[in-house]
Amino acid sequence: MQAFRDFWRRYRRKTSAVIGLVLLLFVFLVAFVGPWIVPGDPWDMATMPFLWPGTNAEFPLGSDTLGRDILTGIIHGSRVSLLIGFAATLAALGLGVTVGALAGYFRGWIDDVLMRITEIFQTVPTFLLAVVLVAIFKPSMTTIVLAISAVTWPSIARLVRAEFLSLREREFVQSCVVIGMGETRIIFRQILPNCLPPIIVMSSVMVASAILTESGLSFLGLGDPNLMSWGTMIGIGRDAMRTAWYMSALPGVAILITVLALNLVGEGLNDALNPRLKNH
Amino acid sequence: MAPILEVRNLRTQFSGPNGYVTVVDGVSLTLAQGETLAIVGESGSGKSVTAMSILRVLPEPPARIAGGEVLLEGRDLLKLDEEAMRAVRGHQISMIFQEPMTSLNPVMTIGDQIVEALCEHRDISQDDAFAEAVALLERVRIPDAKRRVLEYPHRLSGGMRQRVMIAMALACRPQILIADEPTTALDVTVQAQILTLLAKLQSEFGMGILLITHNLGVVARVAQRVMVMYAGRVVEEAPVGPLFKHPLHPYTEGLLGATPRMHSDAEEGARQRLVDIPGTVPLPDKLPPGCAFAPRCPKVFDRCLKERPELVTNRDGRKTACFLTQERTA
Repeated sequence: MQAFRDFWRRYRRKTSAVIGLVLLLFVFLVAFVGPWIVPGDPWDMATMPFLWPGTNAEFPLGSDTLGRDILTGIIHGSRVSLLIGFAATLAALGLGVTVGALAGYFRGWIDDVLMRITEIFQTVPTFLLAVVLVAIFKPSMTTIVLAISAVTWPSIARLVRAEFLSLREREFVQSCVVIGMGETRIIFRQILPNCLPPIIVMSSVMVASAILTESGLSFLGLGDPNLMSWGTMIGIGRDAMRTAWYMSALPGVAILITVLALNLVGEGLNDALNPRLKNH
Repeated sequence: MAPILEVRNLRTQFSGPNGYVTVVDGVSLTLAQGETLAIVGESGSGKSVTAMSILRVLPEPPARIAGGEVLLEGRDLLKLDEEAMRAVRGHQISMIFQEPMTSLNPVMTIGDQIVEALCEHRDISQDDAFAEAVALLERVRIPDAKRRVLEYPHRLSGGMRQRVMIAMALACRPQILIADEPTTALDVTVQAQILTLLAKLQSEFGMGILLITHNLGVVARVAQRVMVMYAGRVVEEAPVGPLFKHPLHPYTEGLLGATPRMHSDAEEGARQRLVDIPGTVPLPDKLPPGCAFAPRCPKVFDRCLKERPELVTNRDGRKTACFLTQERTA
């Protein structure tokens, strides 16, 4: 508890970090209570097409080319974006942390093999690889999450490996070895908690980039066809970009706010968790 | 008393650019229950590598133990597999390091760290382990142990952290404690407290201590026997009293001469200049053909440069590896 209070004291020193947190909590709130506010199906053609925002009180954000309510779409899209963003990051963390920890702890040939595999993934442009993966395995929530995590885990693996390489040389690890502690216990109980701060910071930014990747995929028509996501909405609005720009701009603003919030939070976490600044 | 630990002809090598380099060459030692054996020598003399070879915690490769035996109650540790070796570490032989600042995990409370150490070797419930952690902290004389057990390492002073390290190392009542320069990073008053504590714990637990140090003052305080190492080999071994009174090997003499002493008045202090040993320890891959100490030895003669003196037991039971003393006593 004391540790958390210290953390919060350091976090709130930065105004931008607090703003980011408030924005992020707002997005979460929308995602959680949204379906009760706008109970309709985002795919329903609820009104006349090309309804501009602010012209009809029942549809405050207007409608798209087929008369679907944009507000309903954005609120439902927030669930999709957050879900995919966090699920993809979690999956990437699972793989990346395992690979990085093994490579950094055992070094030698294990490190060589794992890092060569990691590098293969890193040499391919990530978005292209994601497009290819989703295109091969039929777009759905699961394949999108897997594709995004498949292209993002290498950066986590490299970060964790670097942390492990330096931490395993530290004397507290040596002293665990000399009192006969097992390798699994040393890796997960002793070393891993020490590299959590950079992992947490990186994760927040990765959620943001996963949301962007998902939007990009949906924009290209590679989103889950049953889910109304922000990227899908921008894709739909693309055809009417010159006559009704709001169709793309409004979900775009939603993406902007969410990604910005996550980046601000990430930066705030970095400052709050950075051990070099801890004692000030 | 029968020795619990006996090391015979230990040879440890490191791979270098031109093949293996021998860093510990033919070191033998014995340690009895309740005894303290000090290994002294300059940096690079192979003291720490000897200790880490005994516990087999050197990274292999680049290191390799090329020969010898490490007998713990008659069982050769060098022949054990990693699993069995892990059961020895902490349970029978434990080790503490020089740097108490970095030897504790910064993100765990000291209580949790001791609990981890206990759970590794014993089938013990979390609650019991925690109670035992408090008891251990009390044994290493940490005041207010019940509260301290919940603290993170950065809130403790250097001396307190070293006490926690000792508590962790002793958690499973090892028979042997290897202390690698346990007081080097501490200031002088705290050094004395830690040494006193180690001596007290030794008499309570009855363990043998292998003390690695370059501080002869520490040796005089706590050790019964001293082994002087130079360039990976043992050059002299003797009980503490005789060694300090009458060093046989010129290197030991040099080490003692380089130790600052208090004198009764300033004038005498000015006359008794601090003598240093010229030069540095030769690198293990550039050892001279004869005695490794010959290039720095004030009493060097022809034979020293050609032939390497073996460690020989003299009539009074002391061991030296120097032609001078061997000729004199032979």
